[in-house]
Amino acid sequence: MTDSQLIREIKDGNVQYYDELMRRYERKIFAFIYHMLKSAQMEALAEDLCSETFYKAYRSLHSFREVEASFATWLYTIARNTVLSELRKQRNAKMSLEHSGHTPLASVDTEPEHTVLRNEKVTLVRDAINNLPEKQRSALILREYDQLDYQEIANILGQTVSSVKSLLFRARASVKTQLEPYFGEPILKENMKG
Amino acid sequence: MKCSEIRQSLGVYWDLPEDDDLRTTIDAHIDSCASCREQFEMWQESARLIRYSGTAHAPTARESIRRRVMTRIYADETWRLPVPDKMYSISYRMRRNLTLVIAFCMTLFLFGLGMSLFYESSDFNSTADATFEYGLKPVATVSADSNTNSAPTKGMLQISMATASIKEPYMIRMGPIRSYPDYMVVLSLLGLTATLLIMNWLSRTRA
Repeated sequence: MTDSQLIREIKDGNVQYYDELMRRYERKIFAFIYHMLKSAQMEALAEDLCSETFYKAYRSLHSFREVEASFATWLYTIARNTVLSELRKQRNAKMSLEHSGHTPLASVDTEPEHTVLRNEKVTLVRDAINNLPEKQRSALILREYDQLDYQEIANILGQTVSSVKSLLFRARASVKTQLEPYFGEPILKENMKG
Repeated sequence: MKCSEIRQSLGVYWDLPEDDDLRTTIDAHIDSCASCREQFEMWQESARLIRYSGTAHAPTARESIRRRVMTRIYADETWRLPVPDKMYSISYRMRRNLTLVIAFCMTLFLFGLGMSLFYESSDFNSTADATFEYGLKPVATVSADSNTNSAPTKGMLQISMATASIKEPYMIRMGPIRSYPDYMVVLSLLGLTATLLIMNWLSRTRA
């Protein structure tokens, strides 16, 4: 069954088909959300946001028009908005804690088992990506990790194709600039072999 | 193209098709320009690292995400819950009891049906000449007799009492139900219907 047929069935009341629709996209959406979050140790949060994304998508499925965008693009848009909303919430919570004089609790990053598992090479690049402005970061992740084309990225970000090209150029230039000091270091040289 | 123009284009180089003119021009330029080649290699390393970071720690979604979403949807819209899942919302003990009742009713039905058929073919046929009349028999007649309750006693008042006696009792034959097997069939069907209705009600109210 195609996505369109599944969506039609769901709209007709056969909700069980939504499970199949989720199965097709959950890996991609989960990976996207995971990469959009600014910490590599947020798998549990990524799962929560992923289920939230699919739930929101189900709730507004009646408003989905296939002529405007593909289901995947529409889903990515919901996922991005969900992540941005969560990041905003976290930023506000952090600010309020700082204002109230409370010291934030130890973050998940400081857990020893995660620290041991942390891949320094990946962290270095992820940090560079996380430092990018949000739109550049989204564009880069959608292009490099999810292999979407310019038009799809433009639809998700609500930009034109030329804007997406510009965003990608600036994002890559910024990452390169941030990584330049480490290019001679063994950590990245070793990485290149991998 | 000048070196500055080439370096400006390095950022989009990775998205250009293999046979693109700009890509061919850049390839030709970096073969002859050491400075631009160094810049190109940095871009190349950076692009590889970005892709590597995406695949090195690619997370895998868990089964629970889908299950969680479906549970949430069914919690909101209970009427959409598939029937087998609805039944699981009834406790095991209740399901077992209802299943036993259904099994009993089915057995009773089959037994009653078998008996009814047997009864009809043997006993009923043997009395085929008998005429069955349904409804009330003719109204019973009541007669009054005057009896003396004891032998006359000298000096005592003679009392005459009237006693009523029903000569013919009421004989009622109702409808097509004529025997115990028929009652068993009817009762089993009623029991089955009632149990199924109860199950349906429970599945709707407890889902």
